[in-house]
Amino acid sequence: MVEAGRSPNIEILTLTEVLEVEGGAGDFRVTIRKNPRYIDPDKCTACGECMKYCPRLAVDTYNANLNFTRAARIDFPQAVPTKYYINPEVCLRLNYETCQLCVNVCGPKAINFDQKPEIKTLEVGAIILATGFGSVPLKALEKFCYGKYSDVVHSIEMERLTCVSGPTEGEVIRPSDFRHPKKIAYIQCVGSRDLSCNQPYCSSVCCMYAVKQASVIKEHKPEVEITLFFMDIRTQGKGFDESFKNAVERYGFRIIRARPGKVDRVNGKLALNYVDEDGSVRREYFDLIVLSVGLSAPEDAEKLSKVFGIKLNEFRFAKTNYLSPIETSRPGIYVVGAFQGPKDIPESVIQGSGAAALASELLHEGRWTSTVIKKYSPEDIELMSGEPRIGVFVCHCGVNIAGVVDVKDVRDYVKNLPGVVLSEDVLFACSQDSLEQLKEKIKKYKLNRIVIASCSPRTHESLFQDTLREVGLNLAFIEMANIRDQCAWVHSDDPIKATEKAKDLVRMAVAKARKLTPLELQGVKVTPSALVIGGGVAGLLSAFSIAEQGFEVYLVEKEKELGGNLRRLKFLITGEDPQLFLKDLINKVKNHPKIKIYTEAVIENISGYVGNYTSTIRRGEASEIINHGVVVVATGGKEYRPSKYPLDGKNVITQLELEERLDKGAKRGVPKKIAMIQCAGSRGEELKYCSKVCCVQALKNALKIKELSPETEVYVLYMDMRAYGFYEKYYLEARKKGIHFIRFPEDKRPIIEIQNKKPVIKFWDILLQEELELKVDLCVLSVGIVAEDVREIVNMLKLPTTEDGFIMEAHIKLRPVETVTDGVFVVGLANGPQPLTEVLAQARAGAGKAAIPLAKEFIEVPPIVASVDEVKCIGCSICAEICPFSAIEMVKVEKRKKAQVIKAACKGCGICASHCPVFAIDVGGFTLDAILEQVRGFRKEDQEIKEEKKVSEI
Amino acid sequence: MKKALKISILCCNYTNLSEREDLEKVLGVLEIKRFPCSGHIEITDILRAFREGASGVMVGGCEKGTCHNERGSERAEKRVLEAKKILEEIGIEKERLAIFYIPRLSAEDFVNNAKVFYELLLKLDLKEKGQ
Repeated sequence: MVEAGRSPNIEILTLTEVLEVEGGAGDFRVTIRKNPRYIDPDKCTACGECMKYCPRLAVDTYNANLNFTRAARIDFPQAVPTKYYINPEVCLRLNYETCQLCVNVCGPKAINFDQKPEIKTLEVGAIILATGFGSVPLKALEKFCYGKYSDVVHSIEMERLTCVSGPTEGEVIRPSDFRHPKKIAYIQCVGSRDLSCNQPYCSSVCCMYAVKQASVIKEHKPEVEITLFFMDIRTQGKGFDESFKNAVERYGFRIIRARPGKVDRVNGKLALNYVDEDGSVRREYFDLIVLSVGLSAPEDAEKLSKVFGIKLNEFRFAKTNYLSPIETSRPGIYVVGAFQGPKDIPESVIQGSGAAALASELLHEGRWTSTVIKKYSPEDIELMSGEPRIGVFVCHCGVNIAGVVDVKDVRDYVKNLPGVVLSEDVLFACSQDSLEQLKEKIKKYKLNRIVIASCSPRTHESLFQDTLREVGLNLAFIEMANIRDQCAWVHSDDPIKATEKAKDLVRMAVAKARKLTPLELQGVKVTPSALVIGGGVAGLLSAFSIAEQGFEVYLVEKEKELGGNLRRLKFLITGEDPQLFLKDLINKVKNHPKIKIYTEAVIENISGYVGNYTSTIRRGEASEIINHGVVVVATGGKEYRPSKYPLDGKNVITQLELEERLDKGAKRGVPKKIAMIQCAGSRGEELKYCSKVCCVQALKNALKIKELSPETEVYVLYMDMRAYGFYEKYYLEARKKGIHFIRFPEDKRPIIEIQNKKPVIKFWDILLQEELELKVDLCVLSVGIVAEDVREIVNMLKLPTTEDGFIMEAHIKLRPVETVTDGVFVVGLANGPQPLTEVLAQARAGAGKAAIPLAKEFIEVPPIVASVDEVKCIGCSICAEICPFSAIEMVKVEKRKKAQVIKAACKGCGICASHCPVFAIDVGGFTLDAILEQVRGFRKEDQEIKEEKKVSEI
Repeated sequence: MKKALKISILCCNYTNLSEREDLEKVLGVLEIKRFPCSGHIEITDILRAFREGASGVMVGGCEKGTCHNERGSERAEKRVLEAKKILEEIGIEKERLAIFYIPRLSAEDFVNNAKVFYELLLKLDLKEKGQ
């Protein structure tokens, strides 16, 4: 959020409504109304005086209406822009012409009640809708006596209650008596999968977030007993099943598959009645009941549809096509996130990048025509070369740090350390106004070394580095002491010792800061072309998108033909023809002037680094060397063949084989009795994970069978029917059409035997609690997806994989298509099992991300790299051998072997420096000198510090 | 020690699923007999409860219009009126038998009704003793 706020090319218009959209793709005129904030954001310093004095209470909508705030307020300290605003609905001055207290207390005179709404017209090329989701109808909550009994809360309220910056500072208390509940129940599917309140779809995210919330509660109070009531457990995302299982095991949650009808209360105690899976009626008492609410379309979906001229689907979400999941019905307008359909963070982020790629395809001709390039002031050599003048800023991080560590004590302690000129405490060091103040303080006190005692440099160092550069300091002159993750969070039970440790950490950081040396920033030229590995649908679409954005693409496919797994899909659950789509896409790719296709080709070698990769492509006898800037890995996956089942291709087949049969042999007639077995080999049998697509695939084929031959009996044996999102519609339809769904427990999976050439399935019926036999004509296994074996490519690119063989993303939520290697992206089944529509979104996202370095032409290489002191180097080449990134080469300098670092490939891991027998290698920002000083800084007695201070004064 | 008042509750299975724990605040000995539907409660069931030593009998049915079997609770009402006549004949106050309509699965209403009924019975007993 802060990054977006700081980008000179993103203008954030808050409190703004879109009134009208005219024109077409590439040339929209958008009329907006900017509603008054009543506080001038240029003057506001976010000091909070207005809120302190504002006498008018207002319900805090940010905290799910759980507490009160003021009419003049900021929702949360990290808000972007970090500026206060006045809520016109409750403000006394705006409603009754009285008060005006805030005007008098505001130091910078930022408050202006004369502001009027502004109407403006913007000219834009593309529009991306990311309006998010709305709340579920109150009716769905009232069914569970929400509003009638105060101890029935919904999950969004719970989210605020468990949040440390929430109204209770993370204490989970129940609203009726403010006591800690001992027994908590979660009811799933509230406002989802519920026909009675017109919300028939599944919200996809609630199963996972309920377990997350329950885990957070358990972390706070381990003695709480938590019971979760599920219909189906739908944790279909990558790695979700495993996390779910781990959480249940670790925290001992009780999982009950039942849907309580209603909440009951007797003598102030809440009770739930439910029918168990074996059919017995049970009643249980709870202190607090949490309703896991689903995601609805935005409340003003109809208005959005009218203003933007887009169509909505039957559930009031933005209508998109299965094969173009990000495009709305109006060209040039894209939709991402929960307005397109209920989805989780990774998928929303993928769609976001995908929409950026689409916008970039549309507008690539105008690239760089209206962008602003951020310029930094030149480095202030005089300031930097002087004696170290250290400024220390100790961050409260709200209550994250200040709740445990005595921040003021740390601040005062630091003042006495040698070299420290200024020591201050700040509420949020990373908030935009704090950064502004940091700049001012640097100028005022002539600081040339900064120590921020706050959180992890992993997340925030680049932000502070950027701030330093803005005022002419070298980016290396920042040192962070992590007193949050490594102190306040882990020692929350012992504030006194935690404060001591915080002092130690800060003292060590100050010691290191004294020895910091400047780092050099360097740019690397980028070869503006991409290598796409894999000619399946993910690779094809990525290649097409990158080419459409104006860059050369080399597409490599090991097989004879393009298309991959999609060639085997004959129809889609939504009714589109996948073959037509594939043919069209292949044609577009083949005829694209910027795409060069290599079929029956393998990658022999890839070397280089972001911006400058060199690869050898072998095609039969011939091989070709190409240069490219980025790599998109779309190596795909394949159908898993489980060994435990008698798969014979005749009576026992897989869903894909069934699909081919249904497509070909509809005339031959469909067998009379068909059984499908879900999770055959998946979810803990042979494969650990859920393959996400098989439930929907089974529904698709089952419905097709019913369409071709309505009298055929279809049985689906399942563990959890994962018809998430709008797929729930088809699950409903299938049940209405008389397809039998039978659940089996995880530890009693069905067994197939062949008797008289016909499969007989023996399965455990939960309701009857006994084993049954089912004789069928055809048994279909819903098998999982495994990644293609791409060990060579993975090794060449140094990509980590999950234990299941899928390539790992850099961050599961925030960077879902990037890998840990810069300039390498992973899309499609190589990333994880997912249905076609998600593969398409991901392919676009990969293309969008890949285009960033290509479009920039130059990329800045992170300056923390190793450097070799040639005088000290003895040429032993230990470093070159152990470097995991092959970033060190041995060169001859005056007939002697010397190590040399390829700076653009170096990741700054420091392994070489730690192995160098003559200490010839230093890593930027972590020089031997500085580290030793930091170590010496540990456990200095207060006495010594004072003495040192005296010495330095003399 | 006074002998505790015994209340026999005859109710429909769907009316509620209250358990001992819900009813612990109600004084007296409570005995719950569940029927598939309140329409299935016969006059003899009511009289049998009195013979088995109940001081009062409570018949619980679903609110009108919410009965699974359409008119089960209406039937129960008819039988209760009929039983009251018999009670009068054999010399038991007719107030000792009552019918309650309880919203589906609302144990709170159920318990409250039981409390009120218990107090009523207590008064009747005191009156008897006074005489």
